[in-house]
Amino acid sequence: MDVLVEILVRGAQTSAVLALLALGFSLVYGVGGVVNLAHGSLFMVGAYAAVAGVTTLGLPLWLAYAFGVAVAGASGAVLYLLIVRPVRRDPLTVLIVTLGAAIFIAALVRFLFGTANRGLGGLVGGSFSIFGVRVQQTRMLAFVVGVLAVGLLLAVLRKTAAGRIVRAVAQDPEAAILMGIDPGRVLLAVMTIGGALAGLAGVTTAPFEAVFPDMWLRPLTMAFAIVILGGLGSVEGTVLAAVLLGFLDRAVAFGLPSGERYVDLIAVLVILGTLVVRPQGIVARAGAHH
Amino acid sequence: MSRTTRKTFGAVGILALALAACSTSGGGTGLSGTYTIGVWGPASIPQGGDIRDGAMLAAQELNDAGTGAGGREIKIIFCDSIDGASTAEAVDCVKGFIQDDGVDAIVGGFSSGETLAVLQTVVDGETIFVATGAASPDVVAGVESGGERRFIFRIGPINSTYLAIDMCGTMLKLAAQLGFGKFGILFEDVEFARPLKDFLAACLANPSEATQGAIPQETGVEVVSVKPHAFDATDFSSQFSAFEKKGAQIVIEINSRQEGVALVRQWGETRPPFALVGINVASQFDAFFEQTEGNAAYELNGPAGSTRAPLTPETIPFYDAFMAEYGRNPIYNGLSSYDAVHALAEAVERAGSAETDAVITEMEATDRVGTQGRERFGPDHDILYGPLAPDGEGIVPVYFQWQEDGTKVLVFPEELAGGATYTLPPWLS
Amino acid sequence: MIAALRPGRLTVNGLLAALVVLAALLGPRFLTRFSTIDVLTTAGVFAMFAASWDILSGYTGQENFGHAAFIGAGGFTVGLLTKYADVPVEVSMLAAAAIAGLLGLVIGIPALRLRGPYLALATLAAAAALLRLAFIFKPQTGGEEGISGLAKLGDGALLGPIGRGAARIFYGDVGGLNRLNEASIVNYYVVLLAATSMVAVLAAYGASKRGLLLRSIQQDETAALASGVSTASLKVAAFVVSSTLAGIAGSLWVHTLTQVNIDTLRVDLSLLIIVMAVIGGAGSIVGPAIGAVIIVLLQDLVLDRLGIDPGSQVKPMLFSALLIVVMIVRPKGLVVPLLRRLSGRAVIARARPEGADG
Repeated sequence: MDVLVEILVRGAQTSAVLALLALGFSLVYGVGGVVNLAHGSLFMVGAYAAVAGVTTLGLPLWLAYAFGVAVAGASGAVLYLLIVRPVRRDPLTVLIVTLGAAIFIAALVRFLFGTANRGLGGLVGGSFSIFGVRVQQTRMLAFVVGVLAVGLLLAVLRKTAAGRIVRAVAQDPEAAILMGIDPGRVLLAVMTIGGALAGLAGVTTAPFEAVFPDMWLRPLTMAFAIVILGGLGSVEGTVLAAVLLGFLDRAVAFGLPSGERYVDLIAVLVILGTLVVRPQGIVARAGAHH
Repeated sequence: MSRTTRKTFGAVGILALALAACSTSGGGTGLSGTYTIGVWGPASIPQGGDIRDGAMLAAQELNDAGTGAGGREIKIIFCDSIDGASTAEAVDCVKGFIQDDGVDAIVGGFSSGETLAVLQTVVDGETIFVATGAASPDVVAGVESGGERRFIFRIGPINSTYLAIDMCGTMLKLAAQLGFGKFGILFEDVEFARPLKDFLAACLANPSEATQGAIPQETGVEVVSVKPHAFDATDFSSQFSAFEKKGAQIVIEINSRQEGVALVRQWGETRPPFALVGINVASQFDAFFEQTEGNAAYELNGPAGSTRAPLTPETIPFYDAFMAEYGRNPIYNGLSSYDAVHALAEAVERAGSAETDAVITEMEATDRVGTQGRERFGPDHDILYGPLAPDGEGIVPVYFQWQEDGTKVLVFPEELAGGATYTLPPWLS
Repeated sequence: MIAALRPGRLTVNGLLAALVVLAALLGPRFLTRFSTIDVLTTAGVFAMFAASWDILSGYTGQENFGHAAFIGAGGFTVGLLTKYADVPVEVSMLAAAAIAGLLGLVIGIPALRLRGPYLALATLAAAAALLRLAFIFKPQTGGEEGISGLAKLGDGALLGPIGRGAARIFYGDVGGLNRLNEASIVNYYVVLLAATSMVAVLAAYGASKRGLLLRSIQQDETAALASGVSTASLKVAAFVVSSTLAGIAGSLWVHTLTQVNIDTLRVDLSLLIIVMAVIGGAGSIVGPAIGAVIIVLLQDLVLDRLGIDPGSQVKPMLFSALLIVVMIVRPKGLVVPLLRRLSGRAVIARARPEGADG
């Protein structure tokens, strides 16, 4: 029973962060048909920018966090303008150039910050007990931020005019053009927001993990697994899949002996399995782009 | 796959860049000819920078004193093996030293993995190699005087079998002091740690049997749980949880990289009901306290190569010189590489030549007081561990505990502790 | 590509190729540093990686983002056999080829269900899975520290004499060298022979009728199917050929390094091979091979001479940036179009204009 409580509590925390991370990825695909392999890099950029904010710019911690998010968003925009827009028409080329961008960013980060791990301070410290499970306060904060941000985003997509525009482009780009909407500009906005969300996930996660130049691989794999599982282009599917994967992740870690070893393999297996069995996703219906 | 660039330091020193420039007072009085030492280590992580800096400091001192290596000017060429994890760069470095630079001797290595990877190369290239960082017993496997692998020496740290014996003995003392009987082991899943945790588990349970009498105790303690973690792990809650469930009172950590920061931070913040002791290389750096946001307090770190304590009359002066030159304290690699260069220089002096086999013979006869302790090599060219050496003198590891104010206090061995003792974390008493 | 078989172009290309091979055979004589010879050996290895990638992705259009999986499978087969069974060099190499080939089958068959980007992502994920497995089985594979102490190519019962024989003919006496330098020379000649053979065979295959069939799949699969081409078996065959050759190249590589670790499985390696092939000109075998050689030489010789410290990340930044620029501006690559233009000048007339190939 204890193990179950652990899995539930920690799974919830993991799911919130994963949802935050995956949503940007999902939107970018839904709106533009773009699989951005540099998405995990934006997660990393957020964390490193926050570190730079503290060490180089001397910003107070909360401002450094905001700085990190802003830089990640801006990076998303730059990615779109510089490398995605010229090759948008060919999805394979998009894969190659975004993967190239990911490698470039990782090397740039090593160049600027060195290969040793860095630390990011937490806005809170210590821990408290939830149903007998010891949770660090920084993890709790990440959970709260994740839930709020995801909720906010879903509300914006459903209720606001801007949200309707985004959904229109995702549904039917040609019709959107006829209505006077420029899909390119929408994609730019979405990549910027997606980057900012990934950056937010990065800065809230960094205090209890670590900041290191290879930290883009895992978020990318997880985001991709989630979006594939949930159905490329479906926002609700993404959130649901994030919850599923978050709990599965922690279930394996706590349930199996030495389970932490296998955790990274799960996401990859999910990707492979879904691609082979049902490329349009398992959780939700396929989006407009396939 | 890429060839690493090697930087030359010495009288013709160039390429300062981010690395501290190492220049000698070009050709001190009486120095003629050169003795070139290839030094390598993962300088891109903090663990490796000390290898380079310790060696350079030694070369500088010897050259400035006019003695060099048997009258020859010591020239250091440094090669960065990048991160100590993947081994191709290490092999590239060593190959380059032998094939391109024609060095007289090689010093270095941080991780056991990368050190083991270069051994065949130094044997094929018939060049002396003094290992400075790797603890795996396999480093000196097959080494004997006059044999094919005679080129290999290890000046530090003591090998992981001895480390394990020492650690076992110290842990048993600690357990007796505190009245605790249940241990857990949390180890980094890498080359040096696996045999160490196996031995430790056996020794803690049956000390006399596991160490063949080296530790005379018959009854041991209970090891309730042994858990691994990846070298880049970030979440230890599942392992902490398992230890808590099994009732572990002391958890022994074994890790060598930066994940040690996240581990100790998580321990200090979540305050699980066990003390944390053990090998944590990241914890040996001064910056560790701040990196863990003060959560390092009450961690007992050891066996460590040293801390700023008078292990020998040479130790404190070395720490001071290192701090003066580089603005920071060294960790164990700094001491071993410093002593390696000194030992080589003295061997060349006694041999009266730089010829490889002559120097090897003199290296085998090494008996000196270094910064680590009294340094002698066994028949397998491995550095002698004090308690098990012929006359009880050799290298002895130390254990220090972080205090709440960020200072380190040496707690074991008791002879060097000056009365200081281990303090239990407040949430456990 | 059938245009390549026309006499005029064949002579120029053939002459060029012969000259290059001759230069490669005699080259070590004129080099003073053995480390340079090692760089050339690495170039040969990567030429094999790129060529084996090309016969699959360049020809059939099934973009493989995880070529490192086949290379690593070959490398670790050698490593594990050495660690647990002490098997002769040639035998472990055959085993590596077999395992890699099997992996190609295992990936190639499900891949039939996927198109374009999905296929690419699946291969990426497959390689990532293999990498993760290597970490999970760390006690066996050694993880990032890997398995050391592998045999040298010169220790092979077959390859040793071949390498030493070639060395004696083209280089000179290797007896006086220490074991390290002797190994460098022997490695070089064995890899040179292997690479030249592989590239030649693949290029001939690519220029043949079967090669044309492979390309037809990329150009218009439905039309190919309609004309009775069994596209499925060809696609899988391409996967298996590509993976088997990559496995062989991988096993050669780890023997030259005498060690194998998870660097052979990383996405960086897969991407680097794509960079080499793209810059060289995918779909021509020779292009990717040349692209590989150019990039290895660029990395390990030119940049080093310029004083650019390899630890300083300039290299990965440079090459990933180069990849992006080439993909955006010149997706057909640099080397092959250049070669075509060069050899075109030596031909009086060309009946067929540059096709949509490459």
